[in-house]
Amino acid sequence: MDLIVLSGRNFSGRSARLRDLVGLPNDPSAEVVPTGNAYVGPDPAMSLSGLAPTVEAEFQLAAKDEESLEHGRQALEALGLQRVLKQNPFTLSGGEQVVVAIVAASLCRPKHLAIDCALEQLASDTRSSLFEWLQQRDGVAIIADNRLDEWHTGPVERIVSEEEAPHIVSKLPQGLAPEPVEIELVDLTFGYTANRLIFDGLNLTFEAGQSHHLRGPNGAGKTTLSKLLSGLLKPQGGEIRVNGQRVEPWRTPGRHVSFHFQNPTYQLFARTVRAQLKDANDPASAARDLGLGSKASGDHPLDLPFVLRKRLALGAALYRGIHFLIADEPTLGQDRREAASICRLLGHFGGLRISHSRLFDHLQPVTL
Amino acid sequence: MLSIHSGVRLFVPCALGAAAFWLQELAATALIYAFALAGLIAARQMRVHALFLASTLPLLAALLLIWGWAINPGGLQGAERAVRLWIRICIVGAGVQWMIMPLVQEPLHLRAFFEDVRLPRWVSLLFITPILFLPEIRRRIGAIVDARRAQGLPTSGLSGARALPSMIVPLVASLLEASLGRAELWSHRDLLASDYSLSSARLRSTPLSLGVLIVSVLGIGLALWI
Repeated sequence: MDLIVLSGRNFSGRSARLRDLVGLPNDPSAEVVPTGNAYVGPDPAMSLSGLAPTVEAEFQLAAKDEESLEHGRQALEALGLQRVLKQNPFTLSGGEQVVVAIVAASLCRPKHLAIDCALEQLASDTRSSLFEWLQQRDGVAIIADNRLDEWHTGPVERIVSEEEAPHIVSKLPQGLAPEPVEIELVDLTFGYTANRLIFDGLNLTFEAGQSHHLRGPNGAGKTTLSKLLSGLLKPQGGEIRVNGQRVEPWRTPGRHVSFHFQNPTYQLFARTVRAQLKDANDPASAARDLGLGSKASGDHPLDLPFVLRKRLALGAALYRGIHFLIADEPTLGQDRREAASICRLLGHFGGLRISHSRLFDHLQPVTL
Repeated sequence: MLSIHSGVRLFVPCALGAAAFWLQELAATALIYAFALAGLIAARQMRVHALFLASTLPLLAALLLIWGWAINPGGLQGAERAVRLWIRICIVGAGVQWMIMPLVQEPLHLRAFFEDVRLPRWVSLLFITPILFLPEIRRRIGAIVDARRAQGLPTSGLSGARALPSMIVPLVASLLEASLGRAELWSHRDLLASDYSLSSARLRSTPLSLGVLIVSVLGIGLALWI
């Protein structure tokens, strides 16, 4: 596949251009017709058919012939993901879903395959292997990505918008003075099933006020560790200590740790942006500082586009005033400038950052 | 793999259905019990069936009150009618569960059956999509509950019940988004119009899956008929 790369700021019309190129209408009321092209959007789950209970069945739906189907299997093998073939696509991690969505899309033998900001969820090794595999396919891949400078050195088509979009303010919000906490995991044991332990005697210390970059391949247990720390899961053995004292976070989830999930849609429960930011001294001003725009505070959170939902959900987690913040892909969908602002803003908080972005490389690494 | 022709496979359940039509009610009931028993074993969901039957006990009490006391006080005829009605409701309910459960667990069985009999793909998708949506709804609910718990918000008890509307909104919104996104994807990739041109890559029923499907269709048909 030949490669065309698009770049541009948030709200520059980059996604609209990409959709145009593969014949997808930007008007929701317009009829969608087959064009012989394929599109994989920023939410990989939306680029899966939803008709296949296994990855293999997803490939069978997409493959035009047996040869294509075999290519799909080979792609997973090359990426070390053959184990997901019999799994339900919706139970996979975000990165694994991206791989499955892109491979399935390419099995349709599209003339143009558009990939809109989906690659951000891939580890660099996985992304490189996926590109190697894509290069063996026919057609043209058109890629829009916010982290191009981390992996692409070739020519880029830049989309420039004359409209100035609101920006994120990276200073610590006024009146917010969270108290740093130290969290220790001692001989922690956990597994979803008794036969397969994910952590067996895990010992980790997260120093007070320190931010850590949680790394590891897909399926290494990054989300599981985050859920254990925030009390969403109960360990089978071992201890969790906060400031030296043994605690049982599963009894009071969210008390010592604030958790910003990767998908913002599930975290927004209020009727307005203002109500979602109720913990802030001045919610309207907080919405402006989060780059949501001056008129957004009365809007329903789920009326916002994905990029702004992500900022709002992150803001709501920050304004809880808990110093230990777990942020799962906090810069997802944000352009370079806004991602850097988010990174600086998060610098005021300790805890864990789960991200494939190099913006977090300077943090203390925690590798699973 | 089954080697018999698709037409024969369609004829078998039709013939059995026609034969069952001429059976007396007692024989049909015995057949239903046999189906239900086989279904319990096939679905391996004994707890769910037991729970369902336990949940129908208040219904039995209500039927006994209405037929055995309010309508026909002191008579055995009313009580007998109430028990018979309760048994029928249980059989129909268990039959529906039996039919749905294996399909929810393995929707590929249903898709393979439709592909085997060469029905248009959109018919197959029409049946499978709602079935596949069920586990997805469950996963989304799990994610929403996790997000609420992580924020220290209640998810159970009276406070949890009061917060239910605020949990339903993100669920419905995300499901609508997913539906629209997938409808776009199906149209754009022409998934609905694709024919079954794949040879060995095409799905095929196994004798077991086809058997479970036929028996479950027969079972539910009989349960509704008697």
